[in-house]
Amino acid sequence: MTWYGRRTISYRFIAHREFRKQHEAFVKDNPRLVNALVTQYKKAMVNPAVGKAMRSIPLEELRGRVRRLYVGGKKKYRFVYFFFAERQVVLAAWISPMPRTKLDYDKLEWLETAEEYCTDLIEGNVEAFEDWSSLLAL
Amino acid sequence: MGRVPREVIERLVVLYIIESFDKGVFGKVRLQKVAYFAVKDLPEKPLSFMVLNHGEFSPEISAIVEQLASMGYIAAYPLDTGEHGNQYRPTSKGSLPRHSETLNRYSQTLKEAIDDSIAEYGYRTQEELLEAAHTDALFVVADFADMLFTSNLPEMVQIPGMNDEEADELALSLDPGFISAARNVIRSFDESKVDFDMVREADDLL
Repeated sequence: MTWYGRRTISYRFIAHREFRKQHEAFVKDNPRLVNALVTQYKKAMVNPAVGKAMRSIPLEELRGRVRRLYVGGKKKYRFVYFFFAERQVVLAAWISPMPRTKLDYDKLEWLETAEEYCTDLIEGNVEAFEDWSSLLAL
Repeated sequence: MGRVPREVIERLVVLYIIESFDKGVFGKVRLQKVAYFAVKDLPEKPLSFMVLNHGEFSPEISAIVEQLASMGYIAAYPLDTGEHGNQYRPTSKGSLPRHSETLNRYSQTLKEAIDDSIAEYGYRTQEELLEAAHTDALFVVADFADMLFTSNLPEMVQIPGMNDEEADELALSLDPGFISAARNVIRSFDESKVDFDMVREADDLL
């Protein structure tokens, strides 16, 4: 448990620079949804279990740790994050680049983005990550 | 009403066939033929079939089997008959009821056609199965490399009775790219040398 001012924050909200690019692109394209998006970040940080877990996949290591929240009416945009309870970290991962109803699933660059995260995690590149916890606690 | 990419239905069909066998599917040829007989007379076909060396062949099935294995839904074991090839078993039988229900929601006709095909052809000997396949009306008038029929699903498929969230869960759970990416990140995090106490605080969110 970490204190930020008067509020307790349960987990640290960490974003890779690749996620920041996704975040900034979303903000630029959807200025009216910025508050809604940040609200979802806050929810994930304060109570990571609030996001929908992947219940139906066979890989146990993924089930509770990959979660998603939605932004916009009719679950328009999807925000995916990882929840690592043992290290008290929420790692922001992906935001839908466009409304889900218009998504070309073949063009989603899951693996390319993941490769960036993985390389920096394995190599211990601290500078590739940012801690957004204080900003979200405001 | 939830919608998923057509590829999700294609993968669900192949997975459901494998899960529906008592002890998994013995060999790719059996899987191919059972799928062929299931879809050949349906107006909406989730899979394409052409004529190759062993007769009716779906290139989608071949790719999907690898994808399902990479996502951990199925595992391949050597055939215990002494023949070359693998048997394909689901890693968990617990998903069958859910997949059965989902397929039924999408198309009761398709699900029943698969069930009927497994009952009719799924447990025949290899010789009997190939005999049935090679005397099939569509096959006998086709030449090598001819397309027997192509998949005609729309790009996005609606599933009655499924809401947006359920559809999203289904689409993600059958997306090999997403599953691999998520698994890679989790494994990397577990091995990570990053000291999160040293991560700098961001100045702003915009």
